[in-house]
Amino acid sequence: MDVILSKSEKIFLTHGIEEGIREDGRAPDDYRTIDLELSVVPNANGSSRIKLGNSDVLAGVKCEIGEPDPGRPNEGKIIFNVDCSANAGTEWEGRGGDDLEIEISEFLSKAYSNKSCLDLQILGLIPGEQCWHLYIDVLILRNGGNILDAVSLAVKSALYDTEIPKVLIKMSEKGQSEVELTDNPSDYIIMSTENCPIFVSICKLGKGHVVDATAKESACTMAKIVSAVRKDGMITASQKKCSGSLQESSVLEMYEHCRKVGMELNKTLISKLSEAKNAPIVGFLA
Amino acid sequence: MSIDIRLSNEKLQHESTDFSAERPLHLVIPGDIITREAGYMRGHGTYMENDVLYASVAGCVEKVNKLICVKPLKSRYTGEVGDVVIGRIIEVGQKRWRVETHSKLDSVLHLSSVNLPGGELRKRSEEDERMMRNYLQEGDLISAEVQSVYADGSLSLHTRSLKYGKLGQGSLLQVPASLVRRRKNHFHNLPCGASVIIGNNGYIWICPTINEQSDKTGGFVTNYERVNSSTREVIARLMNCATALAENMVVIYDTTLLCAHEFSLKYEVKELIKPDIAKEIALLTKQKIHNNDY
Repeated sequence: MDVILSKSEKIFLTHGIEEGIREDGRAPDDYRTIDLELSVVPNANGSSRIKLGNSDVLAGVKCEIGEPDPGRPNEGKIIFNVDCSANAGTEWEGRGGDDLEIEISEFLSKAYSNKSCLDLQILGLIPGEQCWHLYIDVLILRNGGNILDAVSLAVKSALYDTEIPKVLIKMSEKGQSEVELTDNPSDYIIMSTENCPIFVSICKLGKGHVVDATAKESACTMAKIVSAVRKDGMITASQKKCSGSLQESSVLEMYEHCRKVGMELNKTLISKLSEAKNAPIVGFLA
Repeated sequence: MSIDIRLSNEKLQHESTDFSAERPLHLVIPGDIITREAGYMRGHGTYMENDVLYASVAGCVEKVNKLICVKPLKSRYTGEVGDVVIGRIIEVGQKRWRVETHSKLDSVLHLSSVNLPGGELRKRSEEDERMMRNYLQEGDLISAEVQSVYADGSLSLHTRSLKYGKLGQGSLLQVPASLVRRRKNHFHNLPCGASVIIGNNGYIWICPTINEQSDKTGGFVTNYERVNSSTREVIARLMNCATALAENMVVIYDTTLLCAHEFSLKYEVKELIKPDIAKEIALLTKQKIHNNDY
């Protein structure tokens, strides 16, 4: 992130957080307004767009039939791909965003690798031969801080929006099973996304820590913990970022905070998603 | 803990009322016809096709005799001599600092155009050259005045007055430069308990009140003391007000900022970042300014 701050600006920001007044007046555990929209990409099986303050993320899900992993013949696969748009900032021009893209998609795969998150059995078609592959593509359109949280919200919403066509499995004359798509477009299955995790990033600045850090706040963050939190508070993956070190007590405190915020965020998102499903599509040109 | 998720179409419902107002004539978008009459000169932001003059950027039309220009609403800052700007040092070089001022090219601040600590006027020695990073280092913010504009449009700055110089604790905000109105004074000690410097380049600096006599040291004495929480809240409120004005395209100068601050008092500071409240405050400010005809 390409924000440079002077020493006194950093001190002003850090002192503010220690006192519980952030630069934009928020309390340490307040999020900025989140804008949510579903089905923004008509060609995708499911898509969503999340705006978190100035950050803007688009996620799309595409279903394709492919071969399952040999070790898990009955299950489908989910493949994450993150793309940082060069429009979002000059630091992502050319290959500049590659490291961040890989980092985010790895972390997403790790968070979703827990079996309880998403029922992959539902994606299996013919054991050992064919299954659904879900390609989850995330495009970061603007970076206004706290990209990770926005990405995870977009992924969860896009999965909620995903409609997987129903297939019929027929036996051919030669005794092999064949897959046939139904002609009826309204015949689809929906996955249960209740248990999909959401990332909560907590940044430590001075003696205080905050959620949903802006670009400026992340520029003076000493240490950051990102956890993938399920709606019941279980943490399925976690990561520590930035160069600073943390004491055990503050790590535990930050994890507890992550869980609390994550549960609340999940609850709010889940209640809003059902409303969003039937809302008219606004799109990008509004 | 407050988490506010809203649907995109809710936002649209609030905004749709605005489209009823007709677009003012002098505002154009790319491809709009400015004039079909012959005899006008083609200025910046326009292009000529089959003797018809079109706008090539979104902005307002400005006419000086026969010259027609379109001044873009959102663009990099184009400096003029005498402008007050806020900039960030990005490189310390040979007898000069390179400063980012949100213009197309980086600006320069020569060692000869700063007031050095200690004496008003003294010869710059080699010692001073070696000490440059001690005065201003990468990342530092300064307020300065545009001394001259080079042929390529890059700016040369100076800080040869005690009101300019390095900035201490406070918050920086960036707004489109076209929203900042040129005024006699860009340094304001607001009655609500904070100081603002509204840079012509669209950078707004909000900091605790500057004491006229004792604090004007050219910024070489930095103060790392804790700012008390009431001042901090005022700064955050002003910051959110300015963001609200900028996002809703309201001109920013001391009067609008104070108006917005006054209207914002019925809300808590953190409520001001909510888009509909920000919009309400901006609209109220716009109305008040319009009625009083400042």
